[in-house]
Amino acid sequence: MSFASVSFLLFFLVVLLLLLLVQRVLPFAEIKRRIICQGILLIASYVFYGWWNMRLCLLLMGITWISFFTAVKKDEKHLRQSRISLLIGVGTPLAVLGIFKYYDFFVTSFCDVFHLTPGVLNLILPVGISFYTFQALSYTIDVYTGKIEKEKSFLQFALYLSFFPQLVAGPIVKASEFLPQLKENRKVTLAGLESGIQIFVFGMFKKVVLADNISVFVDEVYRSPQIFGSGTVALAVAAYAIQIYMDFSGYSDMAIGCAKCMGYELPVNFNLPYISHNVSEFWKRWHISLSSWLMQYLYIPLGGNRKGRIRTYVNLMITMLLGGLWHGAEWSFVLWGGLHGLALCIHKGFRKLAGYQKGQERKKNVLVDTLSILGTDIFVCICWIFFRAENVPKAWLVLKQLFGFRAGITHPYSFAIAAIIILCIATVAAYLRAAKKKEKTVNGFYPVMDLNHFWSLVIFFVEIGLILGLAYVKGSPFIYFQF
Amino acid sequence: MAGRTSEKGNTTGKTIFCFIGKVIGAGITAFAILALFCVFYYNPPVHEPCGNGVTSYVRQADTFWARGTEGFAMGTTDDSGYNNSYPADGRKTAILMMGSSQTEGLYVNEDDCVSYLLNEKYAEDGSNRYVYNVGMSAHTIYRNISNLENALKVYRPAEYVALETGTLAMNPVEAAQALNHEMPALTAGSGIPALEVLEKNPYIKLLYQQYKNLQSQNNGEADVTITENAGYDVFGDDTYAATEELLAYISRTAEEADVQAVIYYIPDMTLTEDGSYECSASVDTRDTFAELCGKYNIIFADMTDSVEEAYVKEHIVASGFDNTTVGYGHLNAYGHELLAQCIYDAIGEEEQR
Repeated sequence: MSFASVSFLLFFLVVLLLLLLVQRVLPFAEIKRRIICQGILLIASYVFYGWWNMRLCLLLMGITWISFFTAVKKDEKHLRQSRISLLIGVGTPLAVLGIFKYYDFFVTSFCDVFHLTPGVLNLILPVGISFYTFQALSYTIDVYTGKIEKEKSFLQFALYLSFFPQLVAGPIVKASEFLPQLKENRKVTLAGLESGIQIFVFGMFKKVVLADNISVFVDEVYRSPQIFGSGTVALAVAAYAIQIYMDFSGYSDMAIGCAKCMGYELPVNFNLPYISHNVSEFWKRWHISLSSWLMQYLYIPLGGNRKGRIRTYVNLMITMLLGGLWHGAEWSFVLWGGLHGLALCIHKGFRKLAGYQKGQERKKNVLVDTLSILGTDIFVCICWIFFRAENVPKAWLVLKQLFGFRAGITHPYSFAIAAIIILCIATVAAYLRAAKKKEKTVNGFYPVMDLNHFWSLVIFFVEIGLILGLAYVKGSPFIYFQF
Repeated sequence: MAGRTSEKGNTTGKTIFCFIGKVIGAGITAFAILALFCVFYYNPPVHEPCGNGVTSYVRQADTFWARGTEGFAMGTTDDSGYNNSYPADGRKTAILMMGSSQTEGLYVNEDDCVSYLLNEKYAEDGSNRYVYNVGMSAHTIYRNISNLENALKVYRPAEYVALETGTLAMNPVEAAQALNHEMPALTAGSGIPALEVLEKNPYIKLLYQQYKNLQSQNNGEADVTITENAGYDVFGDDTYAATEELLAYISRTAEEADVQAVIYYIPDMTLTEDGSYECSASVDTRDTFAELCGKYNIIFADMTDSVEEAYVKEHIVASGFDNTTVGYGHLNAYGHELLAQCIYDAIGEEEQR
């Protein structure tokens, strides 16, 4: 069940009505109401997940059980026992992820090198597995390190792992961000609905109008790059950068909006990534929940920047290579992660050479800022080629066509150009807003209006009307579902 | 106390009533804004019944149209509901064009349409022939053959009647339907009276189109014909006989009306993954069809070679637009240009013989 489908809208409406019924109509005590509502949300989450394949629910349930029962705080007195618990709690989700997502890939790669016949499992990749296993890992580790208390309520823990708005494509929510919300009396309110619905609709516009329409062009250019001229390939490369941003941030917006409607808060996952001045900043603005997860649970435990310059670079490379592999079992993803890792190392090295202290910003200069942003965007776009292409040879073909300045079909795809213009306008709006509010950094924002005003309602209805009229209805799944 | 409660209740009721009023007002305003947007984005005139049998239906007459879903184009229909904006200036029709949506040309600006371009060419060469286009969506060659007699009676072209085809090896079943004037009926609009008023609203038209696209998606129809369809248009014994029968009929009917028949072929091209641009009909099929046309004294204008040449030499494809998949769908402005040149050359060559 995709967010951008009629079935989801109906499903969500039923869930909201049930929550309202319990919260506003049925005469229960507050605690009982909360438990019933959380029960409804848990069942709804499993229905939502089971919509793809009922058997996948067993997997989710299994990881939930293991994470819940093995999570223990590090106990110096019973160190061995707590370490074994940690090993099971971390190892099991990783093993599940490894078998479903990476087994075939590594076996095939190994056999290719030694010219052997691979014995692959051909398992279907459970949708969202990378997201909920990471959430489970963060919980187990946080409990072990004493960052959070072990959750006593199985219901609340199960809901944390399976909460349907963010179950299949994030944001990756840390237990410390979500479990406390389950202790409070979160309710469906008019204010929550007002902003939640607007954020959801905003995300839907990004997904079904912009991302999906752009996908038509990107797909055809990546299918046969050799028949298109360099200019068109360049437009397709830029268009993919916008498509994946609109697609994934659109999904995150819809998730945030859904949760808000039900009274819950999910963290922001994107913050205008294409205005980043360097790759380090890009990773603070792109897929924030993943980059902060990798930082907290991989880079820092590896030693971060505490063990000398060389180890810092090695740690960065390991983090980014694994980050690339997280996205998919394909060498092109590893290469994509590697390129970003390399760029992070170069940026870190450059800062060191230039004598910047930690956290120190350089002086503002419009020309340098513009060139930095452009340079970062070009680098990110080139990296996206490896991310989008089916494999490394295809990515190479796109690069050859792009930089070979070859003749071919010219196809100035209008939706791609329109999306670039929309993104530019949104960016300018964010800059103006930051200037008006005298904020140091430029941040993205949701255009949430007060729907009590006539013209706000008009704009909102026009937005819905445009979604209905301009949506690409031939179906295009969310890109991040495959991860 | 009771008074205060009822006062509070009144205020709440007033607020809710006021909000509902705002929602309704805003909904109507938003709908008007969307309709205005669609006047320039998606506004093909709706179909209406055609009284004279030239086509199964026509468009609303003298109506502004615009299309932004497949190409970006606009124009105005003529007083008969067809796409003819080139001024006749009192001239009689010399060439009558009959075809489908390709010939109708509502995907390119009215002055980029094949008939308009032909009119320009005949104005330039001094012959001053007037070309009239009765192309209409969903009118395949079978349907146009079925309507041929009526069209010739109504428009009485002085020199030529040109029929579009996208198929060369004709389907025997449809050929029989065409010859017996038993083509399945085409309905103008949805056929639901209550909806016919709504259908004239451009935004409703767009929503209806979206609904149809969604339906085709749910029925498993592909977005574009990426199927490897090169070479499917092949002559067998039955298709050969059906084609011959149709061509004989066209020739006979044209002769009776004292005009020369022309058939122009718009090939179904496929842009394959390896970059080749392949036609649904092989050279053999096209040669066979050309031979049959020669046998029945019909001019055959085949644009396949020029389409292929444009792709190979200039990397230009004749179909597809800046907002659709390249190489698929209707002819674009360049395709119309190639088609006009192809028809112009074919008629010119025949006249020089």
